Amino acid sequence: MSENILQLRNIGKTFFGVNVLRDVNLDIRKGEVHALLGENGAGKSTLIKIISGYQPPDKGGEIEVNGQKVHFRSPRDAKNAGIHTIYQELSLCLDMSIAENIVIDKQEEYPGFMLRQREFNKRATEVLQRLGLDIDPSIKVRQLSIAQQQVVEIAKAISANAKIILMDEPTSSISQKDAERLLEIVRNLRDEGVTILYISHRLHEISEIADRVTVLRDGNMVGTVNASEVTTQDLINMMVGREMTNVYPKRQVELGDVVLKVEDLSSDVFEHVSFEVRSGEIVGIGGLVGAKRTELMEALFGLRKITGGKIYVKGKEYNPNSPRSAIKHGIAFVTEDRKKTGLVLCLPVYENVNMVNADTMHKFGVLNWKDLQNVARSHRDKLNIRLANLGQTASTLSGGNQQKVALAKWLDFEPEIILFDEPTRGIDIGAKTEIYSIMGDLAAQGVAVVMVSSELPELISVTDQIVVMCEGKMTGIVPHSEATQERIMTLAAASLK
Amino acid sequence: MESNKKDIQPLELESRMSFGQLMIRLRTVLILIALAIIFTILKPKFMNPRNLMNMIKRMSYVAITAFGITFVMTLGGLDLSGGSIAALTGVGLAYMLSKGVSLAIALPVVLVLALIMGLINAVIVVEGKIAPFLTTLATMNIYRGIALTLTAGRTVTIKAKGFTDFFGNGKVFGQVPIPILITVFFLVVCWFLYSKTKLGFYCRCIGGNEEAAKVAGINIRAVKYITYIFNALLAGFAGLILCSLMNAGVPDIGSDLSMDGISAAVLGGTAISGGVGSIIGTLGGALIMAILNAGLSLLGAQSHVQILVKGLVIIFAVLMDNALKSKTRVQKIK
Repeated sequence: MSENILQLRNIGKTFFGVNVLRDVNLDIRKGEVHALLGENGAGKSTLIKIISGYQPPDKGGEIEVNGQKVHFRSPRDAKNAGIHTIYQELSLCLDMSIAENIVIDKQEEYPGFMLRQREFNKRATEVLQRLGLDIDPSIKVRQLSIAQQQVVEIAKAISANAKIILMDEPTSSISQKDAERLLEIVRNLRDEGVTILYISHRLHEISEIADRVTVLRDGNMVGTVNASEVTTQDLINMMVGREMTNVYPKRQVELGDVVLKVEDLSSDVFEHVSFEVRSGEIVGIGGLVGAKRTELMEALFGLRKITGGKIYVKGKEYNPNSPRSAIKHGIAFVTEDRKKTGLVLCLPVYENVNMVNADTMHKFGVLNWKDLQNVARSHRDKLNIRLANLGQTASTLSGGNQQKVALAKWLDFEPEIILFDEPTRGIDIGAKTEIYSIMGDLAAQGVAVVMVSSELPELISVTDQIVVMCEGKMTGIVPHSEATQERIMTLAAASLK
Repeated sequence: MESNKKDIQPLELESRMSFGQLMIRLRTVLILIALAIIFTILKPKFMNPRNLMNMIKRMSYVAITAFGITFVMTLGGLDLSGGSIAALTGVGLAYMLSKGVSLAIALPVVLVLALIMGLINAVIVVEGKIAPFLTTLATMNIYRGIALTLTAGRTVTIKAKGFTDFFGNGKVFGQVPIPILITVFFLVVCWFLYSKTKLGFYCRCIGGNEEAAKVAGINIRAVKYITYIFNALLAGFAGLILCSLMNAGVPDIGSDLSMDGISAAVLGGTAISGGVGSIIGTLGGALIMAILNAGLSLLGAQSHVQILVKGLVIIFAVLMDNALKSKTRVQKIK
């Protein structure tokens, strides 16, 4: 029982000079459920990618399966070694049948030109029954619920003789009842001798099914503990016990009137959120992945339909129905994914900066590009955007500079409310400090700032108060003076316990 | 980080362009010059101004259609129906004239008809959320079908000599054919709209990243409507030139007009995926195709060979485009 099936030695990973994983040493015992726990950005996903063969570790890192050293060059290698991974975004072919999906990894067992549907179906039925899913294997995967699709993924792994199954946040997008069934399946698999590496931030699940827990924080391994010997509070402390260094000190700003008031706001994915933001105030929105914070921002900006509650901008009721109306009400939105929603990568920097401006800075539709370039030039200087020339395309900039360009486009129409969604994700520490300083300047000018962030130290040090959400519900508001990492993490996991 | 700041001088716009980037900028011109030189060496007669004028005149309607398509493609859309719009515009005009409607009424009516065809394309793309390729593939057949049905497949002669002489065969200053003047007129209008106004800018934003354009508050629907309608209007004008050149409304004319327009735009550097393009480039693309056609026929090549060469040139241009782009990636600046 205590024999190690998978051993990781000195695993590290560096992306573009950023060290996302350092010196991870992990022993997975045969037939255990081993939970991997950590905040967003702790390095869990990177570790999974290394174990499943998507990315090689940095030099010096070693992986041993059953005491044999292995070098995975592709996910195929990992699968051949018996390691199967079930990702959050399932990787099934939706328009193929369940059976076809299950056998797709084992095509070498079915040589010849013709498809042997009958054999496929037989094999699928067997393995599905083993997992307690009584369903016709010839129906299309598209017709299944997410929970059922997950079971098909597991069936696919079992059918291919998986020794180790990695599950990345398997319960994040399914209902409570389905989650319990899934945990039941996981327990049964363990009893059959399959080793499970289970990634989740739902603490109650971990105490329910895990034998041992490894906690990651900021790319470092905090430690491995026996699940039966720790409380959820111990785990929270392990996850957040981080020193607050290199963080921008909060600037003291005189707060003005309430600019943005959110009252009992609900949409399809979150409900009953209420908070206020004053002029000059920075309000943080904290929570774990799946807390629906981005969705809250989208609702405020008219990108998501509101199903209940009210929003007031400067005392007047505001009904956001499109980004255009949000902008008219003086709201700006610096989105989380710069590349997807923030920038037009193939356009030059100065055009990106003027994307919002162009709506007002024109004469009968004619743009004066000289003026607009001057606008871009002044933002470049104010925000210290580093580039060779304003005509270079946004795609050629580093993350931090891209973020500043994405921000610059909002500054010229002088918004009264700015929503930031993970403004410092994926940028280096120097650029982070600059972003904090810009936010401080904006607040000092009387702008009401809302910032969604997954980084607790940044959330605590930059904001005046923090609204904490958990799975679409608001679980508390913490003022700056009372904010600690433990307090926020406890609220962020509140309804999960 | 500090040292970085000092390294990078705040340079002015477009001040630094490598040789490779310059080549990308000028690639259409380079191909044009190369082709002109080759044909002149092979057939000195090629450079005869008369020959050149003729060559450009025959390309005028393709260029006008291509200008419209440049907007649509930049937006991330596509239009296959331009040739059918041109045909129906010409046939509509010929039909009305043959029924005794005066030119002063028939001309505005067919241009409004072209606008309506663009509007229909836009409604289906925007409201029906059907891919532009499929939408215009369908309307291409629908508009062509209407043109054929209207005349029972027959050609309708236009007897309004004044009109056909002016639009098709007229000349100013004794030398410059009217179709070329019309092309130059639309060249200026389209260049201005594309480079200097919100319309062109928003087309580039939407084609480059529709999500980001939406978040930036750009009225995507309005831009799409205007673009598809404007594109159809240009195709309508191309149709007027075509029917004047033929002295008749021909229902099955211009079947490869849209494809030639798309080819010209692509040759001129407009990305099929949207976000990037230029009107001047498209003009260059149309000229390349004109030179090829004229040169090859001077050399005695049959039209079948010309079509083959047209295909090869497109592949060549796009391959060269990709190769140059990957060689001249701007260094990342931290």
